[in-house]
Amino acid sequence: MKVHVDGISLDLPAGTSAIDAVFHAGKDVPYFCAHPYLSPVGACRMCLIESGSPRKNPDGTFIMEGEGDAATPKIFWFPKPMAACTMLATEGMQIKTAATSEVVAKSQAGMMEFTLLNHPLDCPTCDKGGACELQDRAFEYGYGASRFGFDRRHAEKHYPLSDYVILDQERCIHCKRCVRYFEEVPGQEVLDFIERGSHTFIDTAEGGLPVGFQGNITDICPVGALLDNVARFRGRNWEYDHTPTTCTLCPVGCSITVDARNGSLERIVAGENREVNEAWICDAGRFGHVFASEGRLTTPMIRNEDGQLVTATWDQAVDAIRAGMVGLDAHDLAVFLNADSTLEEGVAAEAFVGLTGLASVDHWPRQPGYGADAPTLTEIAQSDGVVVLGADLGEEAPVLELRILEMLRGGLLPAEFHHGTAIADLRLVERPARKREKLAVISSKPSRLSENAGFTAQLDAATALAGLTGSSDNAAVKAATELLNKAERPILILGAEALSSLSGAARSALQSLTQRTRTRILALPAGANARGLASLNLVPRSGGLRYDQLSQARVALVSRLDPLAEGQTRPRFLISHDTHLTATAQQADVVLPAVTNYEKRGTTVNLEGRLLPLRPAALKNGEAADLIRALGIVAEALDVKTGIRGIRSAQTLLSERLGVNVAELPIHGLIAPLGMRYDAPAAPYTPQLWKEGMKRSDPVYSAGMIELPMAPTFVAGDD
Amino acid sequence: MGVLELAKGMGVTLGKLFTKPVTVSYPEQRASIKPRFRGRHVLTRHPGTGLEKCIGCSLCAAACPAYAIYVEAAENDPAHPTSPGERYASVYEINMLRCIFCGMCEEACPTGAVVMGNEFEMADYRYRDFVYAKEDMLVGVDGSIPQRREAARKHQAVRTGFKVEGGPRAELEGVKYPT
Repeated sequence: MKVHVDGISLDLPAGTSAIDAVFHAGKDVPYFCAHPYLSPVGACRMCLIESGSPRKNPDGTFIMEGEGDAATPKIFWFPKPMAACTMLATEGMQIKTAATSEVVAKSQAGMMEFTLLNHPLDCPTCDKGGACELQDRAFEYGYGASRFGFDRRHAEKHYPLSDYVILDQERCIHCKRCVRYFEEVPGQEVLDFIERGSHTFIDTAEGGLPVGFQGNITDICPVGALLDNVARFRGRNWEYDHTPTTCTLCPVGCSITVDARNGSLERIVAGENREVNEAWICDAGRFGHVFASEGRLTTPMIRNEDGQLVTATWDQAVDAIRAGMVGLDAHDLAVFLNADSTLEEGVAAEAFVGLTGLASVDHWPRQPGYGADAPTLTEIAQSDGVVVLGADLGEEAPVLELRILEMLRGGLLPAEFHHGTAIADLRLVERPARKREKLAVISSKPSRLSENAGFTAQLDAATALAGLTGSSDNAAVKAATELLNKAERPILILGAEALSSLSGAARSALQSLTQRTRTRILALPAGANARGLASLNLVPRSGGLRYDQLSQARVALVSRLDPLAEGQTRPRFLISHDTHLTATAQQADVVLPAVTNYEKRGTTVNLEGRLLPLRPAALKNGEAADLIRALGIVAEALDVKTGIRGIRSAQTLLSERLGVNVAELPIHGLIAPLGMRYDAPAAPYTPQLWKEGMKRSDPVYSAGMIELPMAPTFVAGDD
Repeated sequence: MGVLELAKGMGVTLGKLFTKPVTVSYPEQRASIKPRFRGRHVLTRHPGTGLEKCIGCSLCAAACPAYAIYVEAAENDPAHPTSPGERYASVYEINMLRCIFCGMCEEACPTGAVVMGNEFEMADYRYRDFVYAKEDMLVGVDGSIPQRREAARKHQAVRTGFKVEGGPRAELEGVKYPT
């Protein structure tokens, strides 16, 4: 299909919208209401263009203009400028933007004047200032002055829609992005326009917005009407250091941008990754970052003569570990790491374990896995039958829930152009039909996803699994079996509850199900990088201790895990490597300060098996070190020499092993074979997305539980 | 060169001995300054309500070519607001060693809160004494940090060593300098 934009000829696939044709040509139109992953509605009327198409005669030939060989198809122009986002580009269409058409430039400036009629001049106090689409477009396309001198509309200025989102009704320009987002993406009808004309305002049903995916509306709001309340007035947009990285709260591995100011993490916004999270992240990933900048451990701590934990140097920590290990052997040491540790930390731990020959090594949370050929998130979104078994996706992998809901809407992934994802994909429609009969959710308790499922049952995972692979009386299980049998691309998702009860018989039954129905199985990893760490030998060797047997260990290194409540039996000598002085760290003999995943360089593996990069944000963390360096310290105390001394040597080793240069992974990641999987029995595990310390209102902050003893500060002499 | 030229030169010298000197014996005598002289910044308040004009927007910090300004904002307590509106500056600091007194902050300020005053006597000993916080710059605070320290030590009022011809500019709302 040939389309001409400002004289530039383009060859575009059928179905392209005029706005995408303009951007594909490298030209620009202003727009507020269109969004790549939402339906185009033409609400803001900013993307005006002049356009015209050739017409055909009844015999199928084009109506021509001119004489003889010079004849060209006659262009029939629309009488008025048209909104580009809701118009389909057609064969031979001519488009003129503001760059070549004065009519367009004038009508866009006029529309901007209308949009700004009631928009308050709040820019200096508005958190959106500096990153505001309206501000930028008004500068580029507006008149620069208003001809309307009357009073602006006044409305509610700081109106909290929930604990996390604050609404300023004066600033709203009625683009309807937030309303469409809730209707189309999480399928929640909680926000809408009330009244009409210039009285129109946005409000929710009573009770505010549901926690889950509400934060995304603060990203897509083109003005400062919907704002992140956690980051309210924390900094201006140009003051933040933006670090694109990967979220490691759950195994989905969403793209995020971490915004830090003065070494403090102030805000997280969603990044775009078409294959993983599209443009959406969950509320925990967006708002649950408070712990990264509050009450952090910044120096090692050791016990003094009185048994008090006091700040120390790294050399003193090495000495303390050496003293604690007197009479003990390296084999007595148990190493337990968090399953959101990076692959680099994993290979360092594996090398350390190999070197010392210790048997007790484990990562947590860990669940037995199933199969290696996991479907990708896009394949899930484009499947035609999904059964979710024994999973609470809201706690285990929230954004996977959005991709499953996308499947119900037909799994339409917007096309890609020169400028990125299509700005207005005309296949996306407002209030889309949902094919609920394509989804079955079976778990022991109801979940948010089950409200959208065609078939639901409250059954324990073992019974359901037996029913699914054999026969069952339960209607929903029967329907789920039917769904897997009939679908062309069926997918079965197994959550923590299903995986912990996966017996040998169930495994072989699942295998025969896969063979019979071509069902692809996604076993949800328990931790953010549990799938990656499972490809490293980080499970207990014979005679070794599991994580839940920590109290039996004689010496233990526990990295970013908090297993010990006060008064519990603890190992004789305990080394804690943590970001905060947790209950476990308070009982430890040596505490080594750790970095959070926001400050790490490394690689994580999401539930699809996609390698995703972590990049370090500039956060204040004192002398905090990652697990690679913490293990190096313990190795030094044990007088062993590890080959891996830092991130570079770990990445070299990892790159050799995976055949992928992990130091230069694209931000969107790539899928690479991880090799064999190491499995071992594990204790049951209850997934929990929001952990203590992720909210500013959490009691840990108000009770001062993690108040740190003051390190001696440098006192300047009076000169 | 003759004796006549020498005498002429001596004559000029002699003549000047009896005219009024153009120098002032600063600091005992006040130096005279033009109102547009750019000295230490003043953070002004709204007349009447007494609320701070500064809303903590950080535009002065963005405009500052010397990166001398640091602002942290916070939300106003509706019962006891610091400034009109939702937002105020909880921290406002200018590093006077970095400041080049160009006046760009004043140009950038949307509320006319930060205004270049006429004070210039800020010489001090320690680096940290050159970081002026909000309480050192709010209107009504006379003198620089060393001058106020000296005054407190001597239990005297702050004495600045300058006067402003015709009084301070209109933008320096509420500022009183000796004239």
